Amino acid sequence: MGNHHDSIALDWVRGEIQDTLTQGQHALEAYVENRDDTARLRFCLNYLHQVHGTLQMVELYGAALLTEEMEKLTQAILNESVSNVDEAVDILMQAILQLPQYLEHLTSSDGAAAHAQ
Amino acid sequence: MRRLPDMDAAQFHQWQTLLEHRTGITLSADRRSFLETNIGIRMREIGCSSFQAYYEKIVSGPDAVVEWATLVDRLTVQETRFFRDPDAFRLVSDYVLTRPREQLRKRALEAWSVGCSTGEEPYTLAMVLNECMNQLGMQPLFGVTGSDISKPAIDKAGKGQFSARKLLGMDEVLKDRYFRPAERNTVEIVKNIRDRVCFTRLNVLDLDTAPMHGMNIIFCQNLLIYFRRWRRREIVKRLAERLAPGGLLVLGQGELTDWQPPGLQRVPSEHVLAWIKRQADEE
Repeated sequence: MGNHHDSIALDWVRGEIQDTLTQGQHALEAYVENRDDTARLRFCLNYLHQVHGTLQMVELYGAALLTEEMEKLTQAILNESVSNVDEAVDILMQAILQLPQYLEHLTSSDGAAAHAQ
Repeated sequence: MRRLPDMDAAQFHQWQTLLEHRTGITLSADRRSFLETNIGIRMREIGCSSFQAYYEKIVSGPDAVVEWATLVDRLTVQETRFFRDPDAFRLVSDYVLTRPREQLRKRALEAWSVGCSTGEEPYTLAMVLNECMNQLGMQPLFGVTGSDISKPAIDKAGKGQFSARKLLGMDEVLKDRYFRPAERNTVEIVKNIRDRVCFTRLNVLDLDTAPMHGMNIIFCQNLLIYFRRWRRREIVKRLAERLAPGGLLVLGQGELTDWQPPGLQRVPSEHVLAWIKRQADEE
């Protein structure tokens, strides 16, 4: 991570990502409540893609890669190509909840230094 | 208030190039004052006194990403209305009501409003689809996605709150059904409609990686006019790829002339510029 990534951009990004992930979480929960409501799963995918784009914009490629995987998993559920939907949804939910913690860790000075290497 | 220096031709060209490179939007020379005014307003807000210094801040400053997000909103967001193009929404309604029921039961309808600005168009689509589902006696499990390059615009859209004057001239029945009075002369979209709509930031130059696939209806009005001809065609081609077989693409009147997008069949209508994606076996 270069020097130009100072705290302004990261703080902004963290707030935006947290908000978008919360929206994704709600969409996923709505889908879990009603499996016929696949539109909500699509919404979750849209939110994840937005987070992915934001992470790329600030060049946090590790986290961006994780969200890309999350997108693929969501797309696979939508395409009905996962064998165990319950498990897939659980994993997705865990990832949504853990990503902000990971970013929190990155923005602490030690984390940022570690990421730069 | 101190007057900003005028933007010279070289500076205009520099900003014009940046905007087109990042958003695809092309500004003709007669839009120079639009660009100058809006950039000027933003420069005053942050106490920046030269176009050059601001340009550098946007391309390489420490908070370039944040500043760009603010500026792009000022340069791209358009005023829009509910039910702006009644003919187009009538077409959507006819289209949905004439789909085979079996198909509608099998898979929830999905619509996408590209370049949705502050959300009036996707909410209108959701209302139209809701009316259709009621008429068909089916569960309203459709989904509408609104996408726009501006984060402030989609944030506003997501709140679902609008000035009451936005409802002037709207059908009373629809008004009562889909809006509730909210604080200080505003109205709020009812929850069952808000639940069916999602807003996301998306740059139309990145359509190749966009997550929307198998869309039944794509609306893209008053966006292509800001793009060069070859780019309009590129965007329409990409959008066509995202349609489900038999899906409907609606553009604004006159936004794409002298060109037939491959794989699409023109809807015979004098008032709406729309196409249906051919089924695979018709190719």
